[in-house]
Amino acid sequence: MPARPTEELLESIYASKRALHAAYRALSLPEKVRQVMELQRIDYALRLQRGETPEWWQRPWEPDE
Amino acid sequence: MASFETALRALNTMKEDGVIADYAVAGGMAQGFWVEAIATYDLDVLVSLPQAEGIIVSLAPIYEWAKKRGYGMLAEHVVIGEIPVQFLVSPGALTDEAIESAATLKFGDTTIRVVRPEYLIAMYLHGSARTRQRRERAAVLRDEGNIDASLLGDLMTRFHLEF
Repeated sequence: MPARPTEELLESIYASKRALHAAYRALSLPEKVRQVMELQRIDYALRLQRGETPEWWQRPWEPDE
Repeated sequence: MASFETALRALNTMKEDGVIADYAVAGGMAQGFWVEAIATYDLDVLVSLPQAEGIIVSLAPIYEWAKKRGYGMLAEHVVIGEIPVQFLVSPGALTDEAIESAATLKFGDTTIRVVRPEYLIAMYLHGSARTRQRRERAAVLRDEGNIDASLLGDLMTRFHLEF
């Protein structure tokens, strides 16, 4: 019989996840825009790896700071 | 970050120049401002146009304004600071209210008008916009967006909306 996590462990994992998401929600607007750009870069890289040719509008935005 | 702020400044200038009467950022970027950031590639902007004679609504003044300032245009997007900006003229009472009641937020040195989360939810659930992806976004906003339940309830009732 495989080992299973206890209810306490599961709750602790979910609590950590909720805390992480809450922290993301609380970021400032500039930090959120940086996060959007990071998500764009990840998405863009995945598309290239899949052999797709991203559309012009699917290029990550360029930060110029 | 300046490319994003450039786009925001352009929106404010467009309003000052009288090309649009008012605007509010909507879509994925607005969603990200109220809850967690999500991957999005364009900036959706809800606009109201100045009063004009006739009933034909056209985005031509926006495109002409953009052209004069050297902004590119691709597939109905105006490309400002490398960011594709899509303008949607308010199609009805719900979006009129969304623009009028938009929150004014600060981004760096620039102010930005953003559709409030209760209105974003209502817009996601309204008419043909009610796709599965948008219903999911609406649920995230409802559950995590620190919303005004009374306002949302009022919108749901007045515009006959459901999740």
